[in-house]
This record gives sequence, C-alpha cells and structure tokens, in this order.
Amino acid sequence: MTETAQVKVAAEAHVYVAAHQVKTLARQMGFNEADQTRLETVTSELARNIVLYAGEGAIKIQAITQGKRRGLKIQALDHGPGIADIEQAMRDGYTTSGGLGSGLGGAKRMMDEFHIESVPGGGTSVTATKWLKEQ
Amino acid sequence: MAKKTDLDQYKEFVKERLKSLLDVVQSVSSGDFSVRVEPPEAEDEFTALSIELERMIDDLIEANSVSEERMAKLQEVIEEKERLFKTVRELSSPVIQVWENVLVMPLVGAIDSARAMRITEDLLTGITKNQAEIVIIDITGVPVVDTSVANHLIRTIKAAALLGAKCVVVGISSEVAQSLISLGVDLSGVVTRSNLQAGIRYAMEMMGLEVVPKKREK
Repeated sequence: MTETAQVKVAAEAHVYVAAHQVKTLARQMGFNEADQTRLETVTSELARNIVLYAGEGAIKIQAITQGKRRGLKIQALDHGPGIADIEQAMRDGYTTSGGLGSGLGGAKRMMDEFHIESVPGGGTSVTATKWLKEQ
Repeated sequence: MAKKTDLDQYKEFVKERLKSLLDVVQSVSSGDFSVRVEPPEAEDEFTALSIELERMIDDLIEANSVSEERMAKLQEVIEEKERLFKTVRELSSPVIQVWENVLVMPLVGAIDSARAMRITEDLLTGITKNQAEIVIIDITGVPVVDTSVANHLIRTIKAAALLGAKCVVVGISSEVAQSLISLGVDLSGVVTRSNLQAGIRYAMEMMGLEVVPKKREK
C-alpha cells in the first residue's frame, strides 16, 4: 500500500490522475464509498484550482495516523499568485474565474480538517484531512 | 631576413596540423559528419590525437543514427497516440436518437474544459440535426463531478435550452449527489432522474407518449 504519493499537477489531465490516486488510497484504507467520492471530489477541486490559478503545483497524498485514528491527508501546493483574502475565497459564490465559486468552501465542508496558508505572490498550500470513522 | 629556425618551422607545422584538426572539429560540431581526419603521412605527435578524433566521429555518427531512429519511433508513437485520442474523442460524446425528437448523450470519462466544449458542440449539432426536444444526458460514466464539471454541465444545458431542447440529467449516483450537496452546487433548475430508464420515461411523458403492453391477438 502506498502510504504517500505526490502527483505533479500542471494540466487538467493531471487533475484526474490525482483524484484517482486519492480514491484508490481511500478505498485501500477502508473509507466508505461516499467518503471515497468526497475525497476524490475535494482532490479534484484543489488540483483544478492549481491548474486554474497557479498553472502548476503538486498534490501530496498521505495516509496518516494520530493515536488510534487513521486518516487521509491531502496537500495542494503551488507557487502561484496566492490568495489575497482567504475568508473571501472560502465563501460560496465567490469566484475570480467565472466558475460556480463554491469549490473551496465545499471542499472544506467535505473534510474534517481544512487549512489554507497563502502568501500573495508566494504561493498557496492547502491541507485537508479526513479521518477514518471507527467501525 | 633571418633564416627560419627549426623552432619556427616546428611552430608552423603545429599550427597547420592544429588548423586541419580544428576544421574537422568545427564541421562535426556543425553537424557535418562527412569530413574525415587525414591520416598523417608519418607518425608524429598528432597521430594519436587524429586517431582518437576519428574514432570519436565514428561514435558520434553511430549515436546520431541511433537517436534519429529513436526520434522517428517516438514521432510514430506520438502520431499513433494522437490518432487514438482523436478516436476516443469522437467516441466519447456520442449523440444517439432513441426516439423521434429524443436524444441520449451518454458521457463516459473525465470532463475537462476542452471536452466540455466538444460535448456542447456535439450536442447542439445533434439537437439541430434531429430537431430534438428532449435530451437525456447520462453521467453514469463520469468519475468525478466537482464544481467545474457541474458548471460545464449547467452551461451545456443552458445552451441546449437556447435551441429549445430540454435536458434531463440521469445517472447521478448517491455518492455524487452527496458530494454535490456538500459542494453547494445548485442543480435546482436542472431536471434530474435516477437512471436512463427513468429519463426515457420522463421524455415519453413530456412527448405525450406512453409505453403499454402489446395486446395479444386472440
């Protein structure tokens, strides 16, 4: 089982590669189908943002353990223009690209932990974790 | 005028030999491998250098032909790949008329912006060609529906509406439905049905048709 993987994201096709990798790992870890789809969708949103706003970056996928909990951590990293107002970017309906503008907020709702670090002009790092529910 | 010393003569000899070698190196570096290193008449300080240079040129010629062969093969592979892509593209968004004025468009695979544009184009062409009133879009085979894909779908549906065709989206799995809700994607203006069968039933109803069991002749 791959515990960590990194997918380079520089084109739309890579978005699906990353999403598929996350789904595969989520399935291996024992996430249920709804959560697999959520993780896949979140990865897709984050990777697409990289292509859309930064041009290129990477998606890091990690199976993590914290005490007894096991989880899947997704990190989206880029050196793009960064996000000036993170609070605004998280709001539903806000978009600078003509999209639906609910990607980031929606992604946050689908994950247990969601954290954005961004420096205008210095890139963005989004970390999102979903914990495996105890069976 | 002073008589040329042995040293001067030697200097001249070296200069000449170096020049001829330099000529060879320059032609080779500009890609002309036809030049050869002239074999020295008598063995001298440059013999070893000449032989090595000659060998180097031979190696270069060989390496060059190998890399040209590889390039040709690579080019072939790229062309083959492009042909396959083209085929897949054409196959991936078929528009099928299932009934008079009713179309089905089954979508399979990832939807990126280039494909979304193609799907819209194909659909609009299909609507015009078949004078379609109802289009059933089946997304069972779309692996990920994120905001971008949903956005593309909504735009396609709006474009179809401009041509007077009503779209029904079918094949949204329960997992995708939950994700769409979390994402906050608003599909309230879009008619959806669980599967293709339900979509066809809806289309029939809209057309004022119904499917009834055939009466048995007695």
